[in-house]
Amino acid sequence: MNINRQHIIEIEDLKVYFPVHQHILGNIFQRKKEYIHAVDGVSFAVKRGETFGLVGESGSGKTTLGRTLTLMVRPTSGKIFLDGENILEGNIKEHEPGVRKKIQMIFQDPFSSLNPRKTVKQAIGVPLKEQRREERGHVEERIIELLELTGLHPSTRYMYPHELSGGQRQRVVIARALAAEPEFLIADEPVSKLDLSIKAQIINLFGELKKKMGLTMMFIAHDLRMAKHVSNTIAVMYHGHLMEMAESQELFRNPVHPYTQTLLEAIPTLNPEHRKAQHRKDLKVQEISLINPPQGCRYFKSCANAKKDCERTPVKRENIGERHWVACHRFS
Amino acid sequence: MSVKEPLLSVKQLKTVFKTRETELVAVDGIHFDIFPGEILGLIGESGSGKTVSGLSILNLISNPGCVAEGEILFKGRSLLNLSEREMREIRGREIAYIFQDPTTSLNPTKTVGWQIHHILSAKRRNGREGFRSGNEAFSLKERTQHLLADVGILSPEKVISLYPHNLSGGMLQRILIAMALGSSPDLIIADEPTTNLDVIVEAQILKLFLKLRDTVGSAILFITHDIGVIAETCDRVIVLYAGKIMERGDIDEVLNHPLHPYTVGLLQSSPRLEEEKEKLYQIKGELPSLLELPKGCRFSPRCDRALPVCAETLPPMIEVQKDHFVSCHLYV
Repeated sequence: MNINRQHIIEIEDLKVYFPVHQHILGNIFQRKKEYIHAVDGVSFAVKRGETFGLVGESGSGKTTLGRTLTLMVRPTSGKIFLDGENILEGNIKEHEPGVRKKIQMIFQDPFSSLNPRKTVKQAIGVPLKEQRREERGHVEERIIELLELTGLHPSTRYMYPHELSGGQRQRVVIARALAAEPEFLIADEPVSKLDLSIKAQIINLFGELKKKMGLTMMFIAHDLRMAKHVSNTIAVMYHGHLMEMAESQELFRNPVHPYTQTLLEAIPTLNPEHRKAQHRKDLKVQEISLINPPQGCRYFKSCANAKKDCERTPVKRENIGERHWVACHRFS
Repeated sequence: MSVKEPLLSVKQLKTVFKTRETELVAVDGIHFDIFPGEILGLIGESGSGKTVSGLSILNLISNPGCVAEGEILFKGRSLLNLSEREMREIRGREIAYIFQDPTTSLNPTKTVGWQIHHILSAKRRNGREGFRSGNEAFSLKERTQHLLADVGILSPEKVISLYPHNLSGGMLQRILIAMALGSSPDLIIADEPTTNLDVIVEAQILKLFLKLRDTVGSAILFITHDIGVIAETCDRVIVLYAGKIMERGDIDEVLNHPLHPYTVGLLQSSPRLEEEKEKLYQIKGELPSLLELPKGCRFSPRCDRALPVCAETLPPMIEVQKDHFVSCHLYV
């Protein structure tokens, strides 16, 4: 394996399966255990300094993938190279502290990701003491620095989460993630629970922080307009598979996979001349079960161009441009 | 348009919630009409009073809240003076309400078919003919299935025997819409019907609403915080902020020539697919608390173009163009 220094993280054939809980008798009589194939053979790399957008609908496995990268979820198989080192090799527990120093995660809901009984100071203090081993005298100073960096008043540090608005809480969560001085920040739907006029503030904050600190970011979202604004590269995920990946402008200009096309077609537009809803063709989606997913393309049931072998033959990636590939039988 | 009688007129509606110390004014003197067959959008952030307005129309505000002032005329009848019994006759039959969260709006212990059936039979007892009841030969079960087919459910005969937990959010939302349609209501109040749904399902549901308007002729009050959704479906739009109407008018007019700085800010802070921006426009500050509302214009502390007078007095509602109203001192 040749290591590409350009890439902060490289993922190879990552699989995350969750066992389906069965009745105790089912466990005894049924020999084969069933699994939900949440992430099923995903490979990609994130370049240092870029923002990597991961888009998909609920149930596509995008959150599971993000959590796996921080080792909060243990993958079933595959390789994750962080700075060239496979963090799934050997005892995973030993890799954990190193991974958490380098990768931090921001969650969707700022209301449930802060402990209601801890002040902001306590929340931000933990990673400073645990991860950075900051000396006592410096902790307070660092907290104030971090709060100012994320656009909060230093006096916020004495407050409890219930005293803060949604936008302020998300800023605290970001400050806490930055306290560990990570190189790679995973933001899982960081603005979807925020109010309209607050979203732009947080999105701009990410832009500023990226510039100031040279962060690499992974932006997990279902809001495609936001994802396009934020990301350099976008990967489209569907039912545990990556369907297409390209630079964000290229993806929106030239979507190739039928699923990507459907997804982009469905975005509500602000342009009243294009009021699409009336004359939009019927977008049909048929759910498939992730317990025994098809061998081939996961989108075959809903795809207008599906052929016989789409369901059974595993799909290969085809490059169709510079940094643009698609996993679709039409191109193989 | 102006010749037609409005189906619903809301006049100077003021809904307050009483606390031990003070009175919170959630909706403060809002005023609008809905005409038959029209889709009116009500857009606002959390705390703007959009849901409270919807609930006030059906007299569903419960203690400690109450409608303090104003009048609600539905087909010429004042809804606020009706007894609870008379109100029940209107709810669900003439005005249907679709609640925000489909997962909590259905009874988890009964099958979906039972729940629709129940509603239809209650309506039949009350002598109100339902949607699809033209042919007397239809049994209730058949009508249930027809309704489900009308909202785009592919195998209604299977779905009626399922429980809510067996179904996805998109399916549940369709079922709620089917239930609302059961009596071909004159007005449907849809409170964030697509907020918890994925883009593709959202596009399907929006299309469904437009189809309903064309086939059944119901007027729809569409409550949402997503400008894209409003742009795609509505004929007219009302922009709410902290309980006050900031701007209202024809959708194309408001999107193309927004007048109020708040509307302008909202539109500019949403990323668009057709353009690339380094930074999003951001509205500064936080949403006001209903406990400490500014004395003058509610938006003045966050407004970039605020005049000295803005902080002092409430701006009047001004008709800048025909049917395009704005409440802002800049246009006095």
